[in-house]
Amino acid sequence: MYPPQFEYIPANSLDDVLKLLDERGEEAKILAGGQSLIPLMKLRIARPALVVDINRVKGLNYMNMEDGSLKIGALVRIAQLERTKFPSQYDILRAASRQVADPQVRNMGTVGGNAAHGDPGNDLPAVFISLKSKYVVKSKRGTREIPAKDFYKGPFTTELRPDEVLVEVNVPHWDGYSGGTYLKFERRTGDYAIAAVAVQLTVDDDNRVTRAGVAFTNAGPTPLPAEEIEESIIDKRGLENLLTSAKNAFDKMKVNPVSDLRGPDWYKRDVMRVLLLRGIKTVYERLVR
Amino acid sequence: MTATIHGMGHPLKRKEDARFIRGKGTYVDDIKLPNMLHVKLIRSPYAHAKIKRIDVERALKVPGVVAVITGKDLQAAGLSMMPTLMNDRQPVLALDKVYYPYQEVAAVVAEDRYIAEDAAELVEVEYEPLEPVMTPQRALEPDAPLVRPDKGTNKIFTWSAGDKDLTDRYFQEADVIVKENFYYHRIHVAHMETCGCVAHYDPPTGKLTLWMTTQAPHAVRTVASLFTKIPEHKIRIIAPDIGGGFGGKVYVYPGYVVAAFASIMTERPVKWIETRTENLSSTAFARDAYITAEVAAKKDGTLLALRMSVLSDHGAFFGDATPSKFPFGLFTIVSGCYKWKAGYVEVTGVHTNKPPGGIAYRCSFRVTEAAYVIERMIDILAHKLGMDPAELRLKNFIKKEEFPYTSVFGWEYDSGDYERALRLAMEKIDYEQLRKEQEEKRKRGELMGIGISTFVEIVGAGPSKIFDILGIKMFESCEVRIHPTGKVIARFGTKSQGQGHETTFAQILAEKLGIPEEDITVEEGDTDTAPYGLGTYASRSTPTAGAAAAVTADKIIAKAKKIAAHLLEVREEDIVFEKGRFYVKEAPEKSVTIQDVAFAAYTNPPPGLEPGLEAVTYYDPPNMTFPFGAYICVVDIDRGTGEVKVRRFVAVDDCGNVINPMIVEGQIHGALTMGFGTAFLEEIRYDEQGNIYGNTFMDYLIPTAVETPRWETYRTVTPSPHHPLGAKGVAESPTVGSPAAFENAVVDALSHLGVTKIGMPLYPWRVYSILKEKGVVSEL
Repeated sequence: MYPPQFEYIPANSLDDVLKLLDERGEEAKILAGGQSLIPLMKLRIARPALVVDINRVKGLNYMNMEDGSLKIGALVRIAQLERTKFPSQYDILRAASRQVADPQVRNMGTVGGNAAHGDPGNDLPAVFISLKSKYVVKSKRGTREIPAKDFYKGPFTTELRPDEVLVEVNVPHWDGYSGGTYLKFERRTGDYAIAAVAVQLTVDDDNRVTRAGVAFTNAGPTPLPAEEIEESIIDKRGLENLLTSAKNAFDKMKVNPVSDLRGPDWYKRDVMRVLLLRGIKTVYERLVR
Repeated sequence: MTATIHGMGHPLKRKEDARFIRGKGTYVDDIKLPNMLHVKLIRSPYAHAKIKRIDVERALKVPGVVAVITGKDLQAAGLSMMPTLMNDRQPVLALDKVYYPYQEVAAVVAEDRYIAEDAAELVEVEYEPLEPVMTPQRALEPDAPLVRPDKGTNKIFTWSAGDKDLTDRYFQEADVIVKENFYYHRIHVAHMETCGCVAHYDPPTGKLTLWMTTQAPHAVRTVASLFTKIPEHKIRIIAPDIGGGFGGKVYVYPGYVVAAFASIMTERPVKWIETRTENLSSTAFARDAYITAEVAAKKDGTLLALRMSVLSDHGAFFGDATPSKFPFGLFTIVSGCYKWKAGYVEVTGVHTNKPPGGIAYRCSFRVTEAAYVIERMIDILAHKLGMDPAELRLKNFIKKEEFPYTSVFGWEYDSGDYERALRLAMEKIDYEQLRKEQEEKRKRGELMGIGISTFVEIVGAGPSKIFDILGIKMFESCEVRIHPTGKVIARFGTKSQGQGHETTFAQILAEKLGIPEEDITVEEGDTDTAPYGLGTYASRSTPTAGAAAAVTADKIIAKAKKIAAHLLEVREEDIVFEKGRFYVKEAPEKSVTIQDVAFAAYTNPPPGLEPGLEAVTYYDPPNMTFPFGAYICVVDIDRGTGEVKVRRFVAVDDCGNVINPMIVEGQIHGALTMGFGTAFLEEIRYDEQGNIYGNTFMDYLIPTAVETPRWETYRTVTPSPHHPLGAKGVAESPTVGSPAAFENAVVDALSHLGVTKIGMPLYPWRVYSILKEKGVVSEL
């Protein structure tokens, strides 16, 4: 567990970070919580020539409700998310964050790092996709917003360009009749998911689903948005109805988890479906009046 | 007086914890000597390959690299082939061929570990891959490649025990026969501290000092001396604080030899410490045995005979840590707690392209495999007979009045009361009520299971007439010196790796000498100071070293009586010793304390008696001890995911008289957790190409506090009749006894569907595939 030599620069401001990435982005990695990067470097799998430490950068650790949306700074630790009492429409954030790895990892690991790393096993991407969030990324060239669902391209491959850094997760407004949950089934505490699902719903006065977000973790090369399932339950009411629709939509979906030590692909697919239906049941029963 | 003495039975906090919980322990990696070099081993990416070429030139040019060692360098020094614990020979560094993945091929010696790691990437090794043999079944096929061309066969041994003809006869007469195939999967001890050493060769004295992670320092010194031809008094092995051993630190690994060689070569201290992946990939494994088991019984449930056929995988070199006469350990304890008419066991051991080892992972040499198989088989038989598994056990237990009892394999069980232990467990868990609940749940389609395991162990190796390691008899030693002021230093040939010897051995001596435990220092692990012993593993320390302590104390008291008689001016026969006080039988008010006697031993010894107060004992146990227990486990199964939740686990253990109940409790909790890990989570697996899976803590899943069940522990006390303290070993009972309870519980939950076997680890996907096959999965 001894990384090769690398250059380490602690950045003091976002401008410093952007300048370094502009000059040396191709050879650099951002160090935030370090919970993925450092093990990879110790195993000599990641070999960045330059490590840019952003932990001293001010103004990246915030959670604000603004213009109806929830803005989460990239340096917010996952443990902070876990300990924050959000309005109930965002309760999925707390449900999910407490299931990320273990307490030590959550104390250091950051929201931005978990989102930007591109590991299909990371838990927060599916949550942010289900919440229809956007990632705010910055470079010297400017700022752009990328929908979370479009951010992931393959394992550890994202839309993020070498000169860019993810600075904020922007969760849109969800009204008070909304809520969600994150169901994760793992081999052991601290492990990545065998299967996990994020379910976020809005229900109207007639108990009809008006808005839905569904995404899976560890279901293939990237976090998996499930728009087919979302569409299948929108405008539906009644638990049985929702479950039948979601099940049918899931069965038609292209879901390709890989067989590995966590289990064979067919098993993971079955568990995904069980968790999906349990997730919908949990959230819907909480929201109906 | 007794309260301050803190003798036997006192729940004393562990003395060693004062330094451990402050982070002040001294482990091997804490040893930092001036001018010290660091070793990085280069390991094989292949399971089986020819080495065509090793080019070290680029690595040697890296600034800070002092040497790059290959097998050829060791060959020149006559040190290329090291002996294993079963008298096989394995290369320290590979010569022309690699035999297992992660085998040691070359070593970079550098000024710091980072430089060593960088340079290791520049050592070029050209391999020509060969077809690997990754299963013992494949090893025995006629067209299988030879793992060891030097041996001409992949078969290492066939070994049998019991009476085959008689067993066969009972099988012919039996009303009922059950048969099942088991695979006890390959696991790793995964001690928190990986293996390593600091080797320091001192040219002026010619002395080699090795601080190393070893459970058996004395045996290592002897073997090292015979192997290297360095005189034994010029080798000093120091085992400092050891962060867990569990059998994995009995083996001598190539890294130790490389570090010692490098230190002699460079005349500088050299440190070698494994990474976690190196540890899980290359150090000794446990289990990895295929077992076909058969049991014959009458239709009323009376057991008749058992027959076991084992195919065991020992890796590329036969290096099991096992007594010489027992190539598959003490597996013949497989007759368990039961009375049989006959039994027969045969074992075939083979070579494969896996690392060697075969250590007794928290068990006394293959006792775990035996307990698992027989306890699974009893449940399978109960299922076949339609009997309650508790009832079947109670019917066939050896009765308490039948001890000492000679088993069908010839072991003389010292003492036991199996029925009492099982009945206590049944009472504590409310067995009858659970069976009712299960019946109701089944009607609703819910899956709940109750699993029993009543096991017996055989620990405390062992009597010298049958037990040795590489010819060295398995006695144990204790040396006690009482200082003039009545304070004590006691040294042992054992070596604690977390067992709490500094506390428990002090308590034994406190009890026997009547000296407060806080006045007693216990030392182990330095071969220059401690008496010779075989070390700590296989639950042997209390049965052997604990007994040695008791006997040593008796010798001291015998001499002390002479001194007390001198002080009290009476005859020795008139002196009575009790709780630290020597008094005159007829006049109890006339007394001296052990402290008075100690002072007199140096200041006023009786005429004609040697001054001083010390004694040493090399204890050769007359028999093994046979701890036992009864475990009952309750599980609930999620029909949607196959997840098994352990709802309750009641453990009744009996280890005879207890020295420190708190330490016993801690050992039981720890070992139950390890048994839980074995049953549900842990596995080292290889694919056909020889790739290893599970060699990081990402994938080798040791349990955390979150999923570990809440253990409910109880104890019965059935003293060992032959141990001076009536004590037996305990720290391994739950790793031995619990896996069968877990699997029995899961099988029991599904037994009404005709399920008799799951297979360990009890992965959710494995359970779920059975649910699916039986058509009972839930979609929600």
